[in-house]
Amino acid sequence: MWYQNVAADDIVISHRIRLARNLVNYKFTIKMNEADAYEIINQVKEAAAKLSDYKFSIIEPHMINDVQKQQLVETHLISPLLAETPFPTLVIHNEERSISIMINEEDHIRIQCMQAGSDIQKTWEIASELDDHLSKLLQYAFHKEYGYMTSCITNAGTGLRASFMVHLPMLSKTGHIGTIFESLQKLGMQIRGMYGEGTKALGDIYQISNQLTLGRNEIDLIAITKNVTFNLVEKEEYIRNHISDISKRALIDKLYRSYGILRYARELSTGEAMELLSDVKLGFEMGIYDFKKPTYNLYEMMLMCQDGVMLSKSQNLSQSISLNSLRAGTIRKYLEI
Amino acid sequence: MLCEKCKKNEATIYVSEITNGQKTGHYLCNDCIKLTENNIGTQAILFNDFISELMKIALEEGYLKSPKTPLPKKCPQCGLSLDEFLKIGKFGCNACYTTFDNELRNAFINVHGNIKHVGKAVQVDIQATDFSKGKQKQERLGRLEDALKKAIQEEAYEEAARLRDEIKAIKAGGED
Repeated sequence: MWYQNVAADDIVISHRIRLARNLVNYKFTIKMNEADAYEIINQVKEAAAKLSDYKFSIIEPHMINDVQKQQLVETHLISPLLAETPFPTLVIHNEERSISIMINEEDHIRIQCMQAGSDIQKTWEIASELDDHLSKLLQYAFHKEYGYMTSCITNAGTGLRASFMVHLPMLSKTGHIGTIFESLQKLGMQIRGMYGEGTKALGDIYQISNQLTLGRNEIDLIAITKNVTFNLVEKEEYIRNHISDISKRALIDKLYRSYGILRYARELSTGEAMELLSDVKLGFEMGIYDFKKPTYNLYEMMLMCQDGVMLSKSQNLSQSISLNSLRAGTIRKYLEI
Repeated sequence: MLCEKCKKNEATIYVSEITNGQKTGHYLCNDCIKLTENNIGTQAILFNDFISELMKIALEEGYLKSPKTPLPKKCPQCGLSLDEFLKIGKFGCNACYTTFDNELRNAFINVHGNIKHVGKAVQVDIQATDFSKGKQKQERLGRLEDALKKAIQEEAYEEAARLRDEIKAIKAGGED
């Protein structure tokens, strides 16, 4: 999986390119019927089958259970919206799950490319190439003035959402993040929690993305998103490097305590686990601990202790099991290695 | 910034509402936003309303060229009404982009600050192939339907009848 390549000591965790596309001869999702939904699925599936180099696999969300669906949301392969769509949907993905196509989410087609680290340019090229292939096999709805016609007015034009996932614990702890929220909105940028629209910033992980999609080309939109993100990363680093000695002593103490709790706790809620894992991630990033970091990256651990991921990996689902103790156990196991 | 209501949690959202023509705004946390939603019985003060708000402002201030008594404008292809569109900010199909063209220009300015797409485009050589027949058909239908409306308004009934038959023929797949 792509997220296993996340370096444990980076503020920038990952990035993503998303392209929204629709087919010309079908109504958009708010007006389409089930027969349309199946036809769209078949068309895109056939097109994807012709692109054999990608070695695509398929997941049919209506064929899997809720736990498995939740796991796909938590590992960012599908959006929370797709998991809830009453219509037939489909997910096409490559082996690493770094390239995927969601069918019948808000738009007929959502191309999604994710990668660890910050080389968004390369990921854009990958997404754009897949888009080019599909545009030759399918009839995209394209308007000469307004560009790619999307279901929501907020995506029209390029249909592009470029985003970075960043770990900003010091900006959170110092309360600066509130001001940043406001100023980013003025810049046409959006900052959200880990799982997108309306979600909390669990574990101090934020998604920064462009809000405007029309009137600027893809390269510019990506560059703006990247610049804003890197600027925030600089601010986060600045705070880390300029805390007073007293604050630093308190911080060191707190980060060791957080590690201690994770190492020995028997019950952990998602919220608490994410908060503590954020501390431990910060501890490793700042080189505070006097022991070696585990072989797993902390972001992967954060994903692994989400309810759906945990349950879908757990062996005996039939037994009733406390999620909080399962979570504490999962984390202890990782930290022992 | 702390939530204005409970003054305990970090505010995560800016909520604005219009009551009696007065705009008010509050910074709230996730817990309090839930309470607010229950209190006023709406579920979406979030982004959809924000778009609809922007569009309403545009209408009120006359950016949107809306007649005094607006015709119940509907997309001929998917049935989405202008009201629905303004409310949710979502299109029902690609023909909506033509149907609501007048309103759209200003909506795009409000939402994106721009009305002209730049960047990737579906390549011209592909448009010339068979793939785009459906699209051309729709564009043509849109044009004909506009002409039909105009003809009816001008009471040119002969022309209207001719247009109506042509539209019917295209819809039946006769002239592809």
